[in-house]
Formats: sequence, C-alpha cells, structure tokens
Amino acid sequence: MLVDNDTLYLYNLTLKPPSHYVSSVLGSFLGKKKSQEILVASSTSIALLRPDAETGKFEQLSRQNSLGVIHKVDKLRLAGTQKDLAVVIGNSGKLVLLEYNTTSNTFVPVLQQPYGKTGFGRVSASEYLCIDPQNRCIFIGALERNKLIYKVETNKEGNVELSSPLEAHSKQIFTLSVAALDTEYDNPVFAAIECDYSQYSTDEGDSSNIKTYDPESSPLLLNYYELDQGLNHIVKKKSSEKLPASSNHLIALPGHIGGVLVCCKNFILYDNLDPSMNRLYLPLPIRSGQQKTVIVTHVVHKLKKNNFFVLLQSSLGDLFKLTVDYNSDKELIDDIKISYFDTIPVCISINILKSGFLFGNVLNNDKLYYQFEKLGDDDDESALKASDYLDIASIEEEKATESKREFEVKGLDNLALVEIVETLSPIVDAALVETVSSESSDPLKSVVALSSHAYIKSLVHGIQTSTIVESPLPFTPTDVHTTKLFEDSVSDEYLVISSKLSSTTLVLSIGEVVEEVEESRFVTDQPTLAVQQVGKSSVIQVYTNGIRHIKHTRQDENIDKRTTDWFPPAGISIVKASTHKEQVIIGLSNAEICYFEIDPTDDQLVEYQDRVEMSSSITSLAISRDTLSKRKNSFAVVGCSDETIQVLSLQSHNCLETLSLQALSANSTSLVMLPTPSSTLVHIGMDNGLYVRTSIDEISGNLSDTRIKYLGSKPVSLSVIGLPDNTKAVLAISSRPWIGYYNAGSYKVTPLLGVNVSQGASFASEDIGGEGVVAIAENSLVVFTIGKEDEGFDINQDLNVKKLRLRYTPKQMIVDNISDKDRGTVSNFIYTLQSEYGVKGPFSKSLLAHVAKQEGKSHEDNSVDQDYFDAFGYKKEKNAWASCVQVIDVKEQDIAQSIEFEDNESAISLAKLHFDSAKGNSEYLIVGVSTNRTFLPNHYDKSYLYCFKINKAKKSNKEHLEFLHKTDLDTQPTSMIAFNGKLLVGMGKYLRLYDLGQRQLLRKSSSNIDYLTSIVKLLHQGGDRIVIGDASNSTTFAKFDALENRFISFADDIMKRQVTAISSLDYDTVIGGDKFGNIFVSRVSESVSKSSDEDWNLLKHQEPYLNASISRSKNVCEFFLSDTPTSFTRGSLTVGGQESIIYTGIQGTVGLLVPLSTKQEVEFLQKLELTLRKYLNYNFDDFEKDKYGVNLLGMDHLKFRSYYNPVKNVIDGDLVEQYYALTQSLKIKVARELNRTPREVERKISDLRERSAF
Amino acid sequence: MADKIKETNEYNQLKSKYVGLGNPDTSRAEFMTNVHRDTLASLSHHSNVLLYNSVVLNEHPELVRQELIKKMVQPIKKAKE
Repeated sequence: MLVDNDTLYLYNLTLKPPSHYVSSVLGSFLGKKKSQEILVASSTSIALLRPDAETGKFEQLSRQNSLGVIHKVDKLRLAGTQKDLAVVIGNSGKLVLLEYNTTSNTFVPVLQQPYGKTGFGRVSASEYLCIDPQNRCIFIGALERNKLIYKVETNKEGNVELSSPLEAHSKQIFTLSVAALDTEYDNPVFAAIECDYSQYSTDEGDSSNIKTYDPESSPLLLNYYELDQGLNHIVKKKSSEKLPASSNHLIALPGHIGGVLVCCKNFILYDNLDPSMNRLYLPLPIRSGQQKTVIVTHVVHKLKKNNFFVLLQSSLGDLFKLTVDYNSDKELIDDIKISYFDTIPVCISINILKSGFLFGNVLNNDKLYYQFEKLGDDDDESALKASDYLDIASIEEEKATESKREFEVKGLDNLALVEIVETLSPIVDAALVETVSSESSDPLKSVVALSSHAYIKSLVHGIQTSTIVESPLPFTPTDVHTTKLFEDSVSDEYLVISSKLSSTTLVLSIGEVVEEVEESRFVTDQPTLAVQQVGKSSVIQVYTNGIRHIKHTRQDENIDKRTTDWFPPAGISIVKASTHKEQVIIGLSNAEICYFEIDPTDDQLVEYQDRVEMSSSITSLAISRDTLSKRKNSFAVVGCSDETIQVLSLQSHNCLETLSLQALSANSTSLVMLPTPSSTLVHIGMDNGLYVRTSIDEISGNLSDTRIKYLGSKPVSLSVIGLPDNTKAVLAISSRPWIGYYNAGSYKVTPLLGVNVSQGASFASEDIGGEGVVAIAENSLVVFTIGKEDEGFDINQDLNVKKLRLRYTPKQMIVDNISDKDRGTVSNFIYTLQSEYGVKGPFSKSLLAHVAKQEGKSHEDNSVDQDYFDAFGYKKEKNAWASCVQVIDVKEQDIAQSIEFEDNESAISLAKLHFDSAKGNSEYLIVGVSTNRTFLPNHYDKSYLYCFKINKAKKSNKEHLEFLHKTDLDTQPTSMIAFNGKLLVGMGKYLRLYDLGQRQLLRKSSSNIDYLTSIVKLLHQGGDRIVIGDASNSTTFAKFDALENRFISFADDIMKRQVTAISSLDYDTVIGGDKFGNIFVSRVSESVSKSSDEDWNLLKHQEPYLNASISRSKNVCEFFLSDTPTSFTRGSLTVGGQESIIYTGIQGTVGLLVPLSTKQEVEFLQKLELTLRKYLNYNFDDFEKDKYGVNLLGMDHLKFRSYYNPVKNVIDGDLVEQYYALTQSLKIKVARELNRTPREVERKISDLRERSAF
Repeated sequence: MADKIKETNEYNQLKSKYVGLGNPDTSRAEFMTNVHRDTLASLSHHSNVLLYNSVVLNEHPELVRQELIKKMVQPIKKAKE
C-alpha cells in the first residue's frame, strides 16, 4: 500500500467503550448452577458482569470489542443444558450465537447464520429479536415487512443448529414492537404491534379521498405469528379487534396464563389468541400533576409455583407492580391488579436476579443495582383492578372523578440502592482540563465530560488512595524503611525513618500506637540506607559508615539484642545498598561493590573475598528483595554515573563478574528488581524523570524488551510495595506517585491520586488490614492504602470519575483557565449552558437585573428540594423549556453561580470573549437564546443575545457574572465564537459580527452564505480565516474580507455531512464528526490556502461552482465510529505524551486518535491491520480454531469501519490490539508475515498506546 | 405489445419483492416517500442517532423510535397546521 508523504495518518484507540447498553440480559452464561450473570451490550462491545450476592458488587468477567455494531442481544438455552448462549444481531447481517468460554474468559461464536446484507435498512431483519420462552425458535424482524423465524435444533454431535428461516413477510406493514408469547407446549407464537400503511395513500394529488394517518388516533393492529410446527409454516393471525393508537409496548404473560398485555397511554389491555375471550382493560396509575403514564420497559419475574409479578416502568421512571389473579380450574383470569411500587431512574431494560436484586440499565446515567426490601404492599385498597372496568371508555370517563388512579411519588420503599456502576453515557460535550496546583508542577489532566441528565463528570486516570495517618516529624526525612524482626513475623515491627540532611535515624515501633523504640540498638546519628530482616531473628542496618547486625534472642519476656558491626575502609562511606534476607550488597564511595551473604547457622554476615570496582561512581544498586522459588538472587544490577547499568553475577562460579551492560539516556537514580510470574523485571528510575522497565534473562543475565515511560519532571525513586490483593507492585515517585503492577497479563503504570509523597516503603500491618504504604511527604509521615476507602482496591478501576450535579441537560461548555503567577496555580472555571426540553424548572427565575446584586449571598436556591428532583425528575410540560447558565469552580467542585432563564427561553449557544472596543481586559460571556422553541416541526418565536460581564475577584480567584444587556435578533443564534475582538454569530445561513455597545450589542457586519442551512459550529483558524460547520452541509472555510466587510467562503467539503463537532488541527485542516458516527479530516489544498492569503482578490472573484464555493477541500481521513462524536480536543492524557485528538461520543465513548509519525510506522501498522483482518476472518464457514482468531459478529472489519464512506488513513487500534488475544501460534504466524517476532509486535502496539494514553 | 405487458408484470413482481424499487414512471411523491422512509428507518435503527435525538427531545429512545416509525406511514404529508 502506498503511503502518502504529506497526509495525516491516525491510529484510533477506544479508551472507554460506549456505555449506552442497548440490551442487558440476565442468564447463566458460565453454565454454573444457581449463578446468574448480566450480559450488557453496547453498540460495539459486550461485557459480562457477575454480581456478588453478598456484597452487591460487580465483577467484570470479560469485555470484548465486537468490531461490528450490535443491535440486540438475547439469550437461548438448549434443551438439556444448564448454559445460556447469547444471541446477537447487529449490522453484520448475521444471526450470531455466542458461547462463553470459561477458560479463555471470552465469548466465542458457535454459529453465525447470515440472513441479509450488512448494515441497517428498512427491510433488514435486524431490528427485532425475540426468542421463544421454550427456546424452540428465534424470531428476527425488520421495521417493515420482513420477519424470519429460525427453528433451533441440535445435530448428532450435540451442537446447535438453526433451520433455514421460515419467512413471515407481511406486505405494507410497519412493526412497532414484538414479543414472544409463552405458549408452553403449543406452537410458538409471536405477537406484534403493527401498522398497515396500505390504506394510507402517500399521493399528494387528490386530497379529497386520502385517508390521513394520525399518530394520535389512527388504530394499530395486533398480529400474531404462529409457527405451526407440524406443517413447518407460519400462520399470521389478526387479533379480533384493532389496537388503540397509543399502544407501544407488549408484555407476554407466563405460560400457564398465556396471552399478552398491550400497554397503551394510561391503560393496559389484555388479549390472547382465544377468539371467545373478551379483552380486559386495566387503567394505569398516573403520577399526580402529570397527564399521562406511558410504559417503556418491563420485567416479568417468576416466583415459585406459577406465581409471578410484572414490574413496569413508565417514561417518568415510576415502577408499577402488576399481578394476575388466575383461576386455574376454570382457566380464566379473575383479575389483574396494578399498584405503584417505587421510582428509579428511567431504564432501557430491567433485570431481576433470583438472589433478590434488581439491575437497572439506566438510560441517562450510571447503571444502578438495587436490593429488594419487600415486594410491595399487598394492599387491595390502593391497587387498580381490571374487574372494575369494562372498556376504554369506562377508564377514560372515570379519570375526572376518581382520584384512586392518582398517586404521589415516594422515596425508595421496596428497593434499596446497593451499588452504582459508573458509566458515562451520554456525553454531550467534553474538554481537557489541566489543573496545576502549587504542590505539583505537572498538571493533572482530566477529561471533563458533560453528561445528559445533568452531570458534569471529570475523568482522571489514576488509582485512588486513602490516607490512614498523617503525622509531622521533628526533622525533614529523606528515607523510610520498614522491617520485621523475626523471620516468622507477619507484620512489620520497625519503622525506620532517616534523614541525610540532618544525619539522623529514628526507629519507631509499629503497633497499636507508633512510638519511638529506645532500645533498638540501631545507629541513630547516621542516615540509614537499608534495613533488612536476615536469617531467623536478626536485623541489619546499613548506614553510611557501616553495617550493624543486631541479633535478637528471645529470653522469656525480654528480647536480648547483640550487635556486630562491619566498617568500610577508613575515609570511605557506603552510598548505596540493597538487601535480601540472605544477601546484602553495598556500593562504596570509591565505586567498589561489596557483597555479603548470610550464614544460615548464626545469621552472621559473611563478606565475599573480592570486591569489584565499577567504571564510575555508583548511583543505584538493586537485588531483588523477594525471590520466588530460588533461595538467592543470582544477579545484582548496578547503575553507574556514566549512564549505564550493569548486571553482576552473584553465582558462586563467577561472582561479581559483569554479565551485561546497558546504556541509558541519563543516570539511574533508583533501581528495583522484582520477579513477576513470567520473568524478572528490572525497573530503572532515572534522573530525567523516565521510568524504564526491562526484563532480565534468568540464566544469562541479559537485559531485553525495554519499555520507557515518562513520569514527571523530577528524578524517579522506586520502591517495592504490596498491593491489597497480595501482589507486589512498584511505587515510582517523580513529581507525582505512580504504581506499576501486573494486571491480566499486561503491565500497567498508573498514577496514584490523593497523595503527594517523595519517598515510600511497603508497610504490612494487621492494624491497617494488610498491605499499605508508608511514605514521606515534606515534613511528615503518611500511611496510606491503595484503593478507595469504602470500596477497597479494584485493579480495573483506573479511571476515576468525579461528578457534580447540574440543573438541566447540559449543551455546551467553555473552560476558563486563570493562571495565578504568584502562586503558580491555575484555577479553572467552566461555564456550562444547560437547557432541557419538555420540563418546567423549579428554580426561581433570577431576574437578570438583580443578578449582580446577589453577590456574596449563597447562590443555592434553598427553596428547591434538589433531592426530590434528582429522584423523580422535573415536572413535565409539553413544549416547555428550562434553561440556565452555571459557573463551575473546578477545584472546589462547586457551582459558583447559576443564572436561570425565564419566559420559556431555551439557551442555544455560548461564547466567551474580550471585545477589542471595550476598555480594560475584562471578558464577556454571551448567551444566545430563543423563546418558545419547539421541535418537529422546528419553530421559535424570538431570539436574543444576553451579554454578561465576567467579574473576577482578584483575591479569592472567584468569578462572577454581571448582566449587562439583551440584544434582539431576527434569527436563532445557533453558534458563536470570538473573532478578532468581536463576536461572530452563526445564525441560520448568516454570519454576523457584533461589537459591544452601551445598551446592546451592535451589528457590524452581516454575510450570507446561501448554500448553508444551519450553522452549528464555528472555528477561528487564526487571522481572518474561519471554519463553519453546518447541520447538513459539512465544513466550509471562509475568510473575512475587510474591504467588503463580509465573510466569503472559499472551500467546502465534497460530502454533505451533518456536522456535530469540529476542531481545528492546523491552519488548513479540521477534524469533524457527523451525526451518523463518522470522523473525518478535511484539508484545504495548499494552492487555495496560499492564494487565500496572498492573492485573495484573485481568489474571491472566481466563479463558484456546483451550488457551493469556489473550491473543495480534500478529504484526508475517514473513519466510522458507530457513535456520534460530540467533541474533539487536542492534547494528551499523559504527562509529556504526544499530542493527540481525544474524542467523545454520545453513547459514552472516549477515544483517542494518535497521529502516526513515520512512514515505516504507517507501513507496519497497515500491514499488521491487513494481516489481522485476514486472520480474524468474517467467514464463519471456514472457521478453524488454529487458523483464525475470533470474529465475534462475523463482520468484515473493513466494511464495519467503512459503513458510510470507505475508511481512509485511519488505522484501527481496536483491531490491532486484538493481536494480544490471539493464540501463541497465530501470534507467531502474524508476526512472521511482518518479518518480526511476536514480542516486537506487542511492544510496538503497547508503545503506540502509551504514547499519549494509558 | 405483449413484451410491454410482460415487462410491467415483471416489474410489479420485482417491486413487491424489493421495497422501494422504482422506474422512470415512478411519481415524485412515491420517490420522495421512499427516500423519507429510508431516512426515518435509518434514524430509528441506529442506536447512536436515536440516542442523539432522544437527548435533544428529552424523551425515551423507545418512544422516539416509535414516533419515527409512525412518521414513516405518510412521511411527506405536511404536519397539520
């Protein structure tokens, strides 16, 4: 493949997969008895969660990237098995059965049955998926016409097979909802709410005899599709009566009753196939103050002995419990009852576990996990009964008079929240915020995302710590050590703190109280280099002028201590030391290395007869403190000041011989050797803030497979610590503490949050519940454990989410950084624009004129019970708007100010700028609003621009908005930016420039770009150049012509995209995303860009062509994401990382596009991608375990990423990282095709990820 | 002449098999109906677009989806004034 020299190549990595779970399925996928897992599927990934019945916590068993779009997931259990299979339909056009493999912990396809073309269309049968409750057949259906039923069979080998599909096509019919009826041993039946459109003509012509479809009143159909098992044929049966127009949801009742409940607006009706039966009608309770109850999801939970209940959830989040009184003798339904149960956030699906828990797949926020306290009050008084009502009319009549239907919401009564699964979906906007605090010079990077349903969430990469003790010390410590006294002790007993600066050592005993040990016999007027428990009952202290050996002998109650000393030659001191319980190695100031072993009989140190002199002075030294199986270390690693590290042998035949040498880029300051399950790793901390890890060959001592990571601006100091799960990790401290640990076969380096320390040591004590870390922070001693206080250590929780409640659905945010040079800090403020459709805000409308006077007062509206609205939502009102602007103080995690808009205004756009014409350097915040805005059809009454002045209080670093004035507009201000000291507003197809006036904003220029429809995004590229993102016409480059005082477009895109987000990459290039989930990069051709700056007069008079501007920009990159991009930010998520593009998607995706730097790299990755595509073959018929990797959905990867447009110049890291999951033989095969070794390939892949992510 | 009838028959047969098939005689209304139905189907089928619209409308995606499907019945008919 040809690699173009001057185009951009990007490498896509998904950091957080989408968390909008289209399905959540409860089943026993592991095949274990009585164990239930939850399978959650988002559009491009599936994950299996196992809830712990006792703690209520979730364990994520697996997560897989599907490399194809998943639409629906359900489960299927074969006759005679205990294990559920997952049934998946998606855009691959295949019906896929997945089985969970418990050894590899992944889902593996067992069957992929093609049924149609790839992609989603009107007639592609991948919209509905239903499985017969008796697991006899699978139903899939399209929006229009097509329906297929597959019979499930098992072949002779016991493998699952699907019959060829039976077609149940019904012409001119749209399907709204499908459910599988429970028919027990009768033929399988599927019920569907459908709309027959043949009777509604679409001809515009003669309007007289056209039957108009009215979604409010035109009836719908209830059709039954019965699979006649004897005839192998599908029979379509119509229900005797039509359905009301508002029917939207079907609930199949358990087999002994059968039939289906149809949920309509405000009532439910019961229907079944029995023609003799009359329908039953049951009203739905209505929340007081609301007009309607519409059911959106349900769950049927079967109890013992044919007992069951149904939980229904309304669009407001209210849960209703429905029970059926069934007379099994007469086979008649006596009554159906419904009562209000509880209110939880609105869900996409709900699952009830046998262990008495409820999983809510919440639509707009974190997923929630509840425990049942009770199953509702069986209060016949308050329950609504079907037997009281004859028909719909009787239900509607009653509404006005009877108040029994109305209910008041209440706090959780039957359910108790036990666990929150943090998710990000949906993200509407995001930005990268770098917080610089005075304590640490390196900025803390967080992605701040706006989430719908009113949260601002900040994501920080790192593991939380919880500080247990922090106490000041009399001197400034530089080193800290812990040790036990006897070999068989469990906890550490001594805590040794020493200071090089004041030449002291302090020995503390660890117990219930920490106090100084008087009789430790340690040398206390010298700084300590190392402390180690050796032999059976001795401790050695290595200090600058010698080694002290203290032997403890227990004599009744007392411990007898006997000391022996070893001194270096006169005038020479010890600079470095490293210890093992049987070995001690020290580096002297004359660059000599001394080696001791412990005599096992009397614990004494035995010096090896020779010393070895290194090439230059010793900067660091390490032997492994913990060796796995072997008794002793066979190697020591020494770092010298000539920027090398050397491996010395400690074996008897060639002791202290240099085995290998590796040059570094700087001096090593700290060395640690740590064995891991697969190999022993040497960790090197360097002067320049780099942290290197390399593996050492157990036999030859050769160093190989070096990985480098930049940790911070200070030299790196390393120490070994224990993690709460009894594994060892490396604590690396530069300007910020990090830990390096093994997780699921890969090594990770993650920052620690919440502590700021300069030295640390492992600390095992029962008093703190196991393993902790004792560390030094400036003048004090800190003891902390790794992991959140209440949740403990979870190795997968390396992305920390902090959230702050906002008022309404946020739309846009602007981050303001104010740097305080004196204090060296940057405080961040975020302005958020929030507006929510269809609700009435409870907050008092702040009269804008009074906003300024509120200063100093509490901005919280005390009269509003925020908890109430958090639980039950704001009051719904048709076409109403609630909107506000809030100022958020990032550091304090607090809302500094809120300004509510009145008169049904909806806030649309936001800009912060400094007007050139205004005096001083004050900044202004402009908010664009429209009144009485409605959608479908789009309409608004008036539009305004509100102008606020940002007042900055110097002392407290606070910001406050002061209302200045309001400007009338004739068009909706859909987008605003600052442009050369003026405000540029995009409204419809107009671009207008405004300047600040006394009483309103003054219009300075207006330009009309007539091929645009609605300008939704604007970018200032520098100079006079802007980029316009249009809601249907993609990106346009335009230039401000000062002579004509208007903007003239000079380049636009070749595609008509519906832009949702754009960001500038350079003067000529923008990256953008469209509504359908594509990411694109367009670039103005060099000649046009040049002449736009140099020969503008020539360029602007050129003739535009094809109803657009005079030239077209080039499409540089193209990529399908399957999630609608909502923001692009340039930056890197790691300290000193390569600048990349961070994007977010509406479904909660957070991803990264890393620019590839060299041609070789691009060629290598292209080839790797191509090879992997071949090995992850989508053709399931050829599937052989040894030849191919797993392609979950059977989707051709190239087709997936080229869903709308052919993928261009973007390499999919999600596919490339599948390399890790291949079997070893496949890894070798793939690597061989690239002329590399598997290790080289893996290293390249991890390098790419670590370049700017984690 | 017989050819023409045969052709028409064949066309009608194909049309019933493939939704949205057209020929030079397809009326503008029919053509536009098909375009709109395809668009609405696409909007309701892709979960990301559906969620996008659902966030803006502050409505449950399932309800937005059904609303879009109902629109497919007479897509080019102007909403009542």
